[in-house]
Amino acid sequence: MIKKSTHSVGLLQLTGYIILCSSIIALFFTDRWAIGSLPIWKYFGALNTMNISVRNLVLFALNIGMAIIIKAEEKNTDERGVVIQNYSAKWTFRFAVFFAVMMGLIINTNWSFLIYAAVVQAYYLILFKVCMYRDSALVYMDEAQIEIYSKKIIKNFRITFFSQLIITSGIASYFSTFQHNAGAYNLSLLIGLAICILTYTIYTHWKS
Amino acid sequence: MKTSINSIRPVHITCYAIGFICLITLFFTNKWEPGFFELIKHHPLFIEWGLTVNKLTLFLLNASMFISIVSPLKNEDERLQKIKNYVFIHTFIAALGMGIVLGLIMKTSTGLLIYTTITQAYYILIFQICLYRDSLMVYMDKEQLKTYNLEINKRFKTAFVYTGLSAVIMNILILNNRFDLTAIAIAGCSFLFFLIRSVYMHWQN
Repeated sequence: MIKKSTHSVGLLQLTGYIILCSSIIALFFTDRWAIGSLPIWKYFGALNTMNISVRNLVLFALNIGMAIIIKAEEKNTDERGVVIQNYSAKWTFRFAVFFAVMMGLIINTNWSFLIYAAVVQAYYLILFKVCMYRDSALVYMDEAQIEIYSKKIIKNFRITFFSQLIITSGIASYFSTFQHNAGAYNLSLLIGLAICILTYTIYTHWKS
Repeated sequence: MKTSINSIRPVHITCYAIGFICLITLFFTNKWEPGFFELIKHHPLFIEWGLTVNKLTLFLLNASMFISIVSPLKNEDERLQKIKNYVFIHTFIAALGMGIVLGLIMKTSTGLLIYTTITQAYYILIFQICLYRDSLMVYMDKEQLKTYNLEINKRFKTAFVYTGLSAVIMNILILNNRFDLTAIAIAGCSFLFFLIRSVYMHWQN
């Protein structure tokens, strides 16, 4: 029988969380701090020449904070932690590739990689935490067993999926016809898909 | 442990064939671009999505690679599972690091499809090397990996200096001190350097 490992927050993890929270708050104020607006910016000549905006810097700090949390998570892991880590890295990689391919095909404007990396790292953290907290049985399954299990779960999720599709298509058609904002179609589709994937993964891993 | 033979199924062969054909067609997409979507080009959805032949071929390439990665091989033993786990984590970290650095340095972001093509190609390369050479890195702990990394870093010190020098020389001679192009040059040089380093690292038993 595998024990549940207690969740202990170390000093490194705490700094990661502090960086993460402060950079999320700072994202709301990046417009006011644009380069040249504050007197500090004259000491950072390289930023001006390389065209690194404040928003990019804040997003970079956010990514670094998340990476520190992930790295700190690795340190206090036993054998079970390693198994969970393997599992979540594998599925996050698959999710990341799938997500990027769909976004690259559907969405016209190029996205910045920093937002993409933040989304992927957040997904990894959520998956890892849920698996660690609930000790879900999915981690110890083979690929064939996972396939059978996920087919069973998809049956439960059929209603949710269809309702989400109808709601998102309604919102998209409203935006594109009445507001003359066709770009909202992609965005609403993407947000609907993201919510569906998030609820699906949390539901599947919560049931142990 | 024994080296298991790389037994690929027909799925993999078709995936590799589709990927190869897509790679070849990528060279000719510029000629097919006008007139290809003449009928459906004026549909608002296609204008909004910005679908081009280039994007579609890249999508096909990515899809074939993804299927070839996900579908299991013929003899799935414990060693193969270990290699897969190791390569997934390794590629995940490398891809994230590349994405973060590229996002910070480059002003215009390249398409996500190109990014995923690079990461998936990297995954397939490292996986095949680990399978073929049966590299010891797969069975190492984290501390052993750290010491091994430091050892490799010592050997690659001169190569690292040379890549930096070549980037600087390219900046001065060819790019005329343009910072936006220099970022791309540095990114390309460092990418090549890390590619060679990781191939060397996994090749050594």
